[in-house]
Amino acid sequence: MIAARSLSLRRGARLVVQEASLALLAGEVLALVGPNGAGKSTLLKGLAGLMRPHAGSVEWEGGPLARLGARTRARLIGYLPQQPLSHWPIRVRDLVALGRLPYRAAFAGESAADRDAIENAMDEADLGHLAGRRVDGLSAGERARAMIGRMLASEPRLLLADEPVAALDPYHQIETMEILRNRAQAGAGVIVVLHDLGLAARFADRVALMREGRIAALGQPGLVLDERAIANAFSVQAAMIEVEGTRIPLPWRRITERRS
Amino acid sequence: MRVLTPLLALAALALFALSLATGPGGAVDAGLLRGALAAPASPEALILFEIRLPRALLGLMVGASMGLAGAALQGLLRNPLAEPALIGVTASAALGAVIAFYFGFAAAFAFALPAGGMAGALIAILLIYALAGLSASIHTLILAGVAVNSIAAALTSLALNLAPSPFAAAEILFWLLGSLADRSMEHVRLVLLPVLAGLGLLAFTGRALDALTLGEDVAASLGVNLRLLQARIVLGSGLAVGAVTSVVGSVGFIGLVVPHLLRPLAGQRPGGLLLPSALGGAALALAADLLVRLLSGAQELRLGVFTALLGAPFFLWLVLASRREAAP
Repeated sequence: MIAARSLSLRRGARLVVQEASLALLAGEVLALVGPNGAGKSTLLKGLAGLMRPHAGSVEWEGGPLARLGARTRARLIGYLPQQPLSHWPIRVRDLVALGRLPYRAAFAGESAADRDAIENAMDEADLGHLAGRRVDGLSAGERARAMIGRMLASEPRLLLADEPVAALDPYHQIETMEILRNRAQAGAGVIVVLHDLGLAARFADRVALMREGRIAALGQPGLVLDERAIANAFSVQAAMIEVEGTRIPLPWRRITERRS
Repeated sequence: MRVLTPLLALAALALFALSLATGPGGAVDAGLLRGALAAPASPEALILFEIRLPRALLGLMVGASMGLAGAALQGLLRNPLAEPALIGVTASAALGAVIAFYFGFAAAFAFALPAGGMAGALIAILLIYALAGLSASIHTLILAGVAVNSIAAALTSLALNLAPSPFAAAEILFWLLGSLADRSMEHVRLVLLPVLAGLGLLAFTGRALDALTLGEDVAASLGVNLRLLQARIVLGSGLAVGAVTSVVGSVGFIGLVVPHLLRPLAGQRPGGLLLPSALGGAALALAADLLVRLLSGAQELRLGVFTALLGAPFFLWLVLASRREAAP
């Protein structure tokens, strides 16, 4: 559905993403992993159509993404930034309802479809009991789930989530990954930035490992996330554990020699 | 709160009617209304349509412009301390009027003053675009507004400094204080179009401002064109606020206070705050003008002075409240 072709992106004068190429299939969960500053968030923004490519292109189903209208793009692609924030202390239901903006005509109220989508998103993100609460009174985890609910309410065909589990406890981490998996099961594409290599190995169909602005490896989790690749990318020695037939990397100690 | 908007509309309407019925000493005479409506050529009709109606209409427009522009700017800048004066249009409109005063145009023809004011406001809008460019950066916009503000304030001071006579300086100063008194239907006609155009531009920004609650990236991902939004709000506030300032002088604090007071009642959504702020601003301006008439003795109490007297303590309270919130 979405594809980056030799995509380079700049922040100011700095080239943050260099010649990244990847293509996502519908129904697939792709995890973007890599050390801090590797360009994961920038690549995600580029795929969301929020940055103009310095070189290369982003394509949506074969055509240039930039040619889609803003509203069409907003319905197709949901974007969840890292550490999402709400500048005003609005209520959780109002926050989730913002996901319906690309569908609503000026001054029109919520349609039945809008209400259904909002209800579903609230259920999926486990927000039902928080509907009337103000965002500023939520815990970090509850707020993160409200933000995920907002993205789900748009019913996008592609979900781009930047570290959606960073603020969550293990229960809600797994729950969030299951939500994304379920959306993929239903036919959506998912690209998710993760720092937890275990979650990446367990929930992603494919993993893209980024390093210094480039995609260093792209493939099945078992192939990309091996000890050597992890050592090279993160300067960390990982133990490999097998759980229910899946090999899970567990970062264990820093490799200090590389620093010198 | 669903009743908020109708309630504020009712309040504005009632205050508008009360403004029509209130004389210069603050005395309410409903008899004048009846007399004026009964005989269109009577002196009562003259008083009503030529003196009180323009005053009430200008009060309505000043308040609605300040309230709506304040709410839109607070939403755009995502800062509860933003207000129309921030983008420098108020100060520039005042400067334009002062220049018209200073060079004697105002004595030469009656509408030199508002015309000068509007020219000042337009120049400010153009300057902000020249300085902030077409970048979508909110920071640059604020800095450009501060710069325009400072330049206009400095030039106004210069005009006062170099005023040919102390009387001229006093007259300029007095005009700057802001007032709805002694304005005619000509003034209303003069500002009606820019005010309506400005309010129209601002009224349709609600959805985009709601999206902006979640930051610029998310708003863009929801299909909002941030440059267009910023351009509409700067132009809309500039037109409406610049026009009313050029006719009534500086009337501050309405644009700051009203959105802030109504925000909790309107459910915090910036889009849901626009209409209530316009109505609440109109109600507050009309109420303040009524009180000014009631409290004025031999010397007229100026509306701008009165709103500042109301606004400054409110500002202080805001600071204290935010300090309480920040305290552990």
